[in-house]
Amino acid sequence: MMRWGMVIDLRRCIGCQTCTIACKLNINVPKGIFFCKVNDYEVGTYPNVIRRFLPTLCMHCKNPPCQDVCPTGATVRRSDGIVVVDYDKCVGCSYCMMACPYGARTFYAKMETYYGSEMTPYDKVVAEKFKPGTVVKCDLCRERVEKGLRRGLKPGVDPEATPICVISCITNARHFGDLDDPMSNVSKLVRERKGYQLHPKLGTDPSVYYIE
Amino acid sequence: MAVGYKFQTEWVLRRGLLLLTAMYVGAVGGATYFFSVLLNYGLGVVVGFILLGICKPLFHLAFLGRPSKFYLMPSKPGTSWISRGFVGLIFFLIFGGVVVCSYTTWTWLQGTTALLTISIISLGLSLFLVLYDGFVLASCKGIPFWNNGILPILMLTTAFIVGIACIDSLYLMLQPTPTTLIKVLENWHAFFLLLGAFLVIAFLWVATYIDVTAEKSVYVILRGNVAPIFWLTVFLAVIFPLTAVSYSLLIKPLNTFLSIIGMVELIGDFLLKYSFLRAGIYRTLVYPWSYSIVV
Repeated sequence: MMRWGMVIDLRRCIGCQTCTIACKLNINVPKGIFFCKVNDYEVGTYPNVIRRFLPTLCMHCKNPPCQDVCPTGATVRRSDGIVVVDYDKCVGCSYCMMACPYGARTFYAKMETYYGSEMTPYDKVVAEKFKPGTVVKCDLCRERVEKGLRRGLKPGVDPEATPICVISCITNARHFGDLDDPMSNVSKLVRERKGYQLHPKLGTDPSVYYIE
Repeated sequence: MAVGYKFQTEWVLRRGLLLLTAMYVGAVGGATYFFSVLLNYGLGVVVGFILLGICKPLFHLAFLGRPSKFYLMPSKPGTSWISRGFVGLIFFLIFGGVVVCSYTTWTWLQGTTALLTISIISLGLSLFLVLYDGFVLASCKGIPFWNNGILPILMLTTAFIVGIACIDSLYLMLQPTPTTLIKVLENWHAFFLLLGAFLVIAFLWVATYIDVTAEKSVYVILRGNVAPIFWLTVFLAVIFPLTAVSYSLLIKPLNTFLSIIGMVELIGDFLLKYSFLRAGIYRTLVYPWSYSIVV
């Protein structure tokens, strides 16, 4: 079996938001919505304060609560571990948003253009890809990964087959690969650097790990 | 993006008000139907059926992002409470519809075993439809405040209270002299009011032990920005009706005044649902003890 996943090195993340913008540009995410976010917070008390960053995206859980609650079967976990939304089936009930413990989903209410009423080429792609009235989320750049695989490339190693947030990271904080392959880069990082998941007690088993 | 507490708004503000209204009319309608069938009160059966079987689904449809795809909703009754509710609603429309007809056009059905069986099934379905909203909320892992086993029972109890309040209002507005029906209802009313007050306290108390986010929600309800609405609810839906019903039962029957109490309770229950949905906060990604200042 294959299970695409990501490891994020929090010591390396400097909160530059390059991944946020790269995702926005390449995936044509609708206006006001971000699939890839970098959250920031401060640790300590004055004067000993440090600023920390927590990049987040859809965790592509092994037991996704969003899939369980979806009444139409629009949310599906594929055999490669990627959790996808079929926008043709989604009715926009937002149940999955309430069920997701990671805040990875957003309701896309209506198509909004960036510059006035006229659609830019970017807006046109947004209109083709996403349907207003549905809940949208990160799909781990599945098209990119699939194209790469068809070309015989190795996701996580070859940039053209790797999610855009990973290859755009200027500090190499993000790593992508097959979590089911014990010899993959991500499996090694999780094993050697004691990778951890967010909210492990919920039993969702996310495919995104963090290392420090 | 700063790490901190983020309130859910999808299910309570703007279009979310439609969902809140759907839950509210469903609870009022379901309980009104339930008690009316039990007490053989025809008007209550019709009103309950209209609220639960027609108004609730219409508000749900209006809430959906893509209502034209509603027919896909019963696809996953195995895991999704919304799907289960949809399936339950279809059956309720069938069985409840027959019961309503027996009070209006098909009066020849009255007293038959077939109607008794259909009535029992429709009673079960109306109870299920009142309960499932609670299960929808309780199954949300993203909102720890709702992720609480007491919520479905609390929602059922508050629905019973407003159902009785609705029957009181309907009955006493049209017929000022109370009958045995109202006297029976008043005893139940007092019982469910006490049970409801106890469950609200238990729900909030249990929530403080679930998660730090749920604890924050309790703070928001009791002392934060939702507090004015919540305390108004406590007065409208618990203190005022409990005092009035106790007075009516123990000292002197209040008769027509009970219909006013019923209407106050109906407002109170809407506000209670609003405050519980409004206090829903998404599970925080970074726990407060790992940081000191939210940026």
